[in-house]
Amino acid sequence: MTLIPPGGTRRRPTEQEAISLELVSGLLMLIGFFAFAYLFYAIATNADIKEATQGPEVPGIGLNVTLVEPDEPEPPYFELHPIAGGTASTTGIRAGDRLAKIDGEDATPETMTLEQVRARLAEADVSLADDDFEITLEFLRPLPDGSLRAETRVVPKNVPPTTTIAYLKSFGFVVPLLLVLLGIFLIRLGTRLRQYDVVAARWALVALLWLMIGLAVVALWSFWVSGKGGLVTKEPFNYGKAVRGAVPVLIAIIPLAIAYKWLGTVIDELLVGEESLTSRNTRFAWTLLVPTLVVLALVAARPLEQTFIKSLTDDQFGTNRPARFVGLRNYANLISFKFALIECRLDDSGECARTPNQSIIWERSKAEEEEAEKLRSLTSAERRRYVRYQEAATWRLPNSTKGIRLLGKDPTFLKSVGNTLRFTVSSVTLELVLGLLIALVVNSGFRGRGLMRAAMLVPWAIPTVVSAVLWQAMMRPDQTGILNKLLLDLGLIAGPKQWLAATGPWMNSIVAIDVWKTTPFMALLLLAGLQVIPSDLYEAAAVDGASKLRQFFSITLPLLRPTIAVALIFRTLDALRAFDVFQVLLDTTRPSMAAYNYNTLVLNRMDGYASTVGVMIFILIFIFTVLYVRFVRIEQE
Amino acid sequence: MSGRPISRREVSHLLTRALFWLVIILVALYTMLPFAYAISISFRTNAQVLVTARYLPEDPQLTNYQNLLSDRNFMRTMLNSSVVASVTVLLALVVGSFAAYALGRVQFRGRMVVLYLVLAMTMFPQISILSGLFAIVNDLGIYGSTAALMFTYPIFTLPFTVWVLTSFFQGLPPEIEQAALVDGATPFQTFWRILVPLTAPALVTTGLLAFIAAWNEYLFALTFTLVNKSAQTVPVAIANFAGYSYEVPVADRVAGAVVVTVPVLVLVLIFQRRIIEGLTAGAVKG
Repeated sequence: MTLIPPGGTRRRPTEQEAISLELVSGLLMLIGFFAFAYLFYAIATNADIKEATQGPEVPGIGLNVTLVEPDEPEPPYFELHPIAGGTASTTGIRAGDRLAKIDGEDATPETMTLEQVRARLAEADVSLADDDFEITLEFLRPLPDGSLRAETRVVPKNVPPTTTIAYLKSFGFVVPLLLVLLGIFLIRLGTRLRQYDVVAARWALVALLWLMIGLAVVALWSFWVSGKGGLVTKEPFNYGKAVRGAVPVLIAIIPLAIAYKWLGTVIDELLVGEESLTSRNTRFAWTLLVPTLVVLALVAARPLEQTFIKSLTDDQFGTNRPARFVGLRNYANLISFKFALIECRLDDSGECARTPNQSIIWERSKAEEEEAEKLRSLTSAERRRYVRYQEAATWRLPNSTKGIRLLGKDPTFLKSVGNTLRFTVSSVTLELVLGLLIALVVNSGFRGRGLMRAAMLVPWAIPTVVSAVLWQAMMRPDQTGILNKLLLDLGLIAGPKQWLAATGPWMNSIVAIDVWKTTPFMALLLLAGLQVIPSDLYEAAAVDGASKLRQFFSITLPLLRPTIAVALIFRTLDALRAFDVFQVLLDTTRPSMAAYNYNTLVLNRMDGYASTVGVMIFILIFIFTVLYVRFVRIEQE
Repeated sequence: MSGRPISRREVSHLLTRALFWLVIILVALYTMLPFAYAISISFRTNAQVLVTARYLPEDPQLTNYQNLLSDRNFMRTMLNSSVVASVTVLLALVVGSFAAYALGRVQFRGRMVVLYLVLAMTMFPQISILSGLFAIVNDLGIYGSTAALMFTYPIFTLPFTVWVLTSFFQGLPPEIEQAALVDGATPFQTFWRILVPLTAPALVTTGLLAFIAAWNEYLFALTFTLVNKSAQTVPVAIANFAGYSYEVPVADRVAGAVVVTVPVLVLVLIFQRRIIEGLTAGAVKG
């Protein structure tokens, strides 16, 4: 036999063993090829990509039109025949309906020829550059009693996405890359195993083990999904279907299990080669890292990549309109801003005029006038696409009738950035000061210190949403809120305050809630830092006659610096991402960045634009982290 | 009265003591009062709450709790939360301890890259991957089910678990593996039979923190279970709570808040020492 490689083996394999080894390496290579094949298959059969490259299966809106000329005196009419699967049939147009109007324009044999009607309804009418993605059809429906009923249907045009977008949205980069790497890895492993290489055999065992576990997870998954049969169904779990979904996957495990068992028994007798400790360690480490990397690729890397891709498109949820690449337009609209000098309207006494609730009435700025002028000059189609500058914030210059106004193409986003920054700075500062105070007190050691530490964990353990609900009850705007009652009883305020209203001190309220919720966490982190400062430093300082205050500034603070730094970054990152409090307690006009992201995504269904907001938040946090890490590193040096 | 005059030193000492206890009392009140007040509200009826604010209930009633505990939908959300949080914890601990062992105790090429990769996952806000995750959840056919939550929660529990456990593994003496290797144990046996039992306390801590994080999570739960009430978790139920009457549901909502917080509080108070160790382990080492 020529199956034995030149390197030789530990003992001469029997013919059966040689064939078995060929089979195992063949199996590995087969799975490797399968990874490639699966990728190509999935791309080739993907419905979106197919539609993008070959055009939709049902052309246009899927509507055939014929001219029917009945006997006099009945006038001729266009009869509609929807094609199954087209958007016309899904919106409820039936065969035999008689066309009356297209997009409000008369479409009867008197006004249009058959060719014109067909052209209006045909694919040629649909263009991606055009924002018009619907056709409104008015028609007469013959009823069984012979009468005609007028009906209107809005039919979405069936516009395929471009191939690039179809591919990127369905596949992206991460998953295909992983499949290709897996394929290459398995094929190389198979070829090396044929050389009777013991290192390859060990890698093969690892690969087989994880493939089996992976398949088992897939089997469990398909058991569950096929048994449930659909998204949100009220149907009982169908065990027959579930088993039928899982069995094929389970069968695929069998050859892997056999190969694993056999390779494991012969590995020490048959295979040769030396392996260094480093190589052994590396394999062991990657073996253990496989599940974490797979999970993170699926739930973190892939969605993150989608967010980046979508941020360059104008994708929307729940419409028939396909996404288009818009370049950096979303980003431009999001962050475009300019400042304008404005003047307030003067009243009789030469002071700034005010509205009944005391806010200043401003004249429109020149920039705003220009915007209004420009908007008037546009056609209605252009106007729909034009994003104009609007007021985001206004500041009055001290002791003057002038002010500065911030204008933005997306004023709500600019406001949300402002809100988040204000929220972050004030809450983190307060938390640091209070947290440090609490940590110092608790660290000084007193009876009941354990109890105190336990009490500190209470606010931290309460779900943020739940604490928001609780504070909402406490901050009720009238006498029924306990906070108002408490402060009135203590004589600290004159009348009940509207804590969360847009005209009230809502930002301070939100900060107070956040401080209550997270100061304990800050205090605990700082406490841990305090406990590692050696106590003999203080003793030495006390001997030298340094006061407590002096000790704090020359020992505690410098030594606590790294801990403070870490605690600060934790809290700042959290505060920049604040969502729950804003979402539950405030309306959508006063969002944080994350809450604004949520509103654009879920309420406005602007998937592409929302992704841009997400990326912007990511970038802001990233910049902050980099600056911060650099700052800390310099401090340490 | 002894005739000895009180020295200045003693006066200032007494003052410091008084100030010290004042701070402690203030801190304790500040952290405890809101929750105490929540309990107080939860014993009043909605009608009472909407008329006046009171520090203590006028005639304490259990109606809110009776309503909640007999509400099958609410109990369902409690069950959902428990199941989701438990599965998430199990997954995070098994998968995370594997990775943490590799990162904490094995020297290999690419170690730092993986470590930073995992850390980077904690950097972006959950919201910015929401729409991407939504698409995946939809593709997998689990939108609107608790499985969607079990699938997505590792994004915040896993990096954290890996991170904390890695630092715990690094803290164990290096002789352990050498001894095990001499005894002829395979690396996996060393990991599974010797090191994992040794880190049991750390596993309890991280598991608990992951449990609380999953129990408290709101954004994903809100988004992925919007269409299916029977898959919702407790925070979503509380935030969207409509109450049992036509009034604004203040008292019932707060009672619900108390009910969902109690299990977490009990856990936290039992394991408080461990939790503090866990919270601070990662941070201090930085």
